[in-house]
Amino acid sequence: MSDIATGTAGIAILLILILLRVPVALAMFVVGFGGICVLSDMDSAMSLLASETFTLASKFELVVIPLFILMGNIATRTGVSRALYDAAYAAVGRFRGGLAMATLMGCGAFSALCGSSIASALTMGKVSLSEMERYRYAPRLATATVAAGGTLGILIPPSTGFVIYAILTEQSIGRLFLSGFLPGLLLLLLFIVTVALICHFRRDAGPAGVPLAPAAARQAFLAALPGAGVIFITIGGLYAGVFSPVESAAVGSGLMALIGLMRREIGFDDLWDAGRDSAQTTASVMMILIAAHLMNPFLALNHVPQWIGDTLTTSGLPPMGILALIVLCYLILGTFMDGFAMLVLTLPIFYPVVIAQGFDPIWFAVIVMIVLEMGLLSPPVGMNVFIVHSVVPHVAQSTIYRGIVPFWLAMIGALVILTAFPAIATALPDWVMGPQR
Amino acid sequence: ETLKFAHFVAPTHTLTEAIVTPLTEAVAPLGLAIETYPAGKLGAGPAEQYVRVVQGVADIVWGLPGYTSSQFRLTMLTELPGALPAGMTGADFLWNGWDAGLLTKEFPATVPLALWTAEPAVLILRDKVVREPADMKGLKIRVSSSITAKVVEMLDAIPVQMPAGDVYNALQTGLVDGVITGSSAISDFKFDEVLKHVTLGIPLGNQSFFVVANAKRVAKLPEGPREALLKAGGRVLSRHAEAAWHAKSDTAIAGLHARGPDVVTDLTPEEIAAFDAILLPFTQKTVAAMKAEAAFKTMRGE
Amino acid sequence: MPGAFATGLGLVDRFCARVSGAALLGVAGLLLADVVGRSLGRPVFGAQDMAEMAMVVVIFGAVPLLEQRGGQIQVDLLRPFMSRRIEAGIGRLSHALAATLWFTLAWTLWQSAKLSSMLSLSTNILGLPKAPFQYLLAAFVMIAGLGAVLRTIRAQRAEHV
Ligand code: NA
Ligand code: NA
Repeated sequence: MSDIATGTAGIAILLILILLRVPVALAMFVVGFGGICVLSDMDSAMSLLASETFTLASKFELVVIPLFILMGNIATRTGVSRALYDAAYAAVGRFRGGLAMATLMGCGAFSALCGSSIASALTMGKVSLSEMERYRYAPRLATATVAAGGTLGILIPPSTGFVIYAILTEQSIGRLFLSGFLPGLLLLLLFIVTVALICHFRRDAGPAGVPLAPAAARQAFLAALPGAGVIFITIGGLYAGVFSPVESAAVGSGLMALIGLMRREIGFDDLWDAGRDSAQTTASVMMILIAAHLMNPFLALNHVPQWIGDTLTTSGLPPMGILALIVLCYLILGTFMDGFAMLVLTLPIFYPVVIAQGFDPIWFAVIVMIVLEMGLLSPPVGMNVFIVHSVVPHVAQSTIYRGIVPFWLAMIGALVILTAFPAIATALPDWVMGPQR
Repeated sequence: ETLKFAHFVAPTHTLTEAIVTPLTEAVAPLGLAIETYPAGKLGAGPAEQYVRVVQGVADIVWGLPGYTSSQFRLTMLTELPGALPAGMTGADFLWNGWDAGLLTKEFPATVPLALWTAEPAVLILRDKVVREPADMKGLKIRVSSSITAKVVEMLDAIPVQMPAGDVYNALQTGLVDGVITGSSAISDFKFDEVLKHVTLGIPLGNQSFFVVANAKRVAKLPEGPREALLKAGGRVLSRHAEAAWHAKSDTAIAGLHARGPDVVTDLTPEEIAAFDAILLPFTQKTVAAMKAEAAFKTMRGE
Repeated sequence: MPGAFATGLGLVDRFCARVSGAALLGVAGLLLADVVGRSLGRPVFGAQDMAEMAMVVVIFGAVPLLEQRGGQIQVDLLRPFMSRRIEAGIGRLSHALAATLWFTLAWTLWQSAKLSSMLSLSTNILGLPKAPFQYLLAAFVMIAGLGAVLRTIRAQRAEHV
């Protein structure tokens, strides 16, 4: 069997195993390990299994992932995230679909605290799904709103997605974080418009809430102040040079815990549990990341990615055509692959192709993040859908996927707008950090 | 026969013209092919490269002793201030050690094909100008090894540890005031965008590098290709690699000079002497503490 | 007897998860101390080295409980089209594969740890030796492997009842 054939067979087996409900990380471990055995030898496979596992588990850059998850977990336990949500509700709850819009704005605010889409969807899901059920929102709208809103976690800084992009492409993390800010707001706006349109056409999907009395509204805004303060310090300190992105997550967790402990909203046992739960979430995500890294040597040895890259570069297509094909590749891969795994596997191939076509690396990062977000919502492997499903198990996965269709269209809209006006992504980092040379 | 050459930098890195191309071209006529796997495709990161070649994942690897310094006690001597005598290349310093059998223990199960050092490390600063040791007081300086960390502390500055990819940002935001690195790394990490000054001449040592092949794999090669590979490697290839590093460094420094008269601070011999007075005794003490005086002399060709 | 074994293993799994959670809180505290210390001119020496090694405990200490709870991420989409028998069969296959993976990983980490101590590999600044952490990682995945074996046996039994 040729290398390419082995590679193709490996990818097919991976897909089949994943669809047959073999855990995603396990399937990647098995195919990566087996593939290296076939293309190289057993000793190499053994050695890579050990070294990739240990290298990734002890990689300092990845400490951000558990720390941001920890920060989100503590925020949930202290009620800070609920306070942020209530403030958003005070602003827009009285409109039709207002609660869903408030959820989206809460997601946006939480995304500014948390670098992970999974953690964002999980946190906001716990806070808002019960509220929306109470106000008789259609489950399809409620769940899809949380799943879609949660994806903002990797677009609005901080973002573990941008961190991994930065590591793989040697771009500046700060620049990447800044680039996601305006597109994040744009996408948030498009999501809110989507909810408004859904509620306009299906009047029972999101009934209007009772307007809050001015005093109650003021109360809600006041209660959100500590959370807003933590957001301000965490992000402000990053750009003022007080701490690095990794450290900002530690500072955020620490502040959040301090607020909770001082206001007696949590005890040390809550903190203890938050640590354990965050480590569990981290492990399930990191297993996929580590397994994906074992797939990397397999893909390098079978030359399939190189072949795809070469085919794209020599296709004679105009740059926009190549870009469209790459986005299409991502959308297809995104249906079944985890976002992080996809980033690690495909970026080393597609990135040089895209840069050679004259596209801006920072702008492309934003495009990739939005496409990854779409992958988080698309069947069969829609990570955020799994998360929302775990919060409300009585709503079928297929119901959530159907609700997501309009949000998916909004994301395609965002891609089109960003391609027409790349400055939405690049203007802010260029303004703050000076133009990139 | 095909050998797998693995490294962790982009194919455009100096390593390609310094080592990969000359090595590949030297053995190709004898039917020995070298296939390169750049950018960590056969396993990520610099720290595990030596393990990968020993375990046979790759047949040849490029590595930095600084990432696993406890394995490379004597190879790491190049990082000490003033270790290399004036006019001597790092390649000669290291091969002197190898030829005397001093380094054998540090390279188990492999055959070194090249041992060399980068150009002397320089001090890159985001803001301040450093001309004398007192200027260093209280500055937060990013370091990547324990030797450099101690050097920074000797100068009353604060050593800060962070991943290489974060340094650009840290210089930009002022998280650190400076970084100690070879000047050839300035363009690799885009430091030129965020630095205001560079001080040349402080004795900050030279980073060392190795290219090694799996010893068993080499022994199994047919005689012709094996001889060609071993002949292609050695002192000459190492000097060639070091020259490539120096050339890149010269380009980087020239680029900084072109930016303006106050970017590069080239210390005068008197100014250097002030740093020597603090740092050279540190080198003596460290070598003595390692009980490596004899080895150090041999490597310096004394 | 298998019941007692399962109970004991469950306790060990939960203990490892607690250790992992504590390690995560420790990393957060360590980095916080480093930030504060640096602003006062006294950063925690080698904080990065310590955080890196602690991360090994954070991630893999969590794996045994994750394995026990079946917390690994899976795809549910074809589930409505699978008969119960097929589903059970694949479940068993997954547990068996997982057990094989964890034991293989434990063994190869053990070998790597031996190589690490031969080469005396350690972290950059503090010189923390790598080998003990590789042994620890091997121990964690070994426990996870035992859990996977237990789940394979249980799935087998459930099938035959
Ligand atoms: Na975010
Ligand atoms: Na998907």
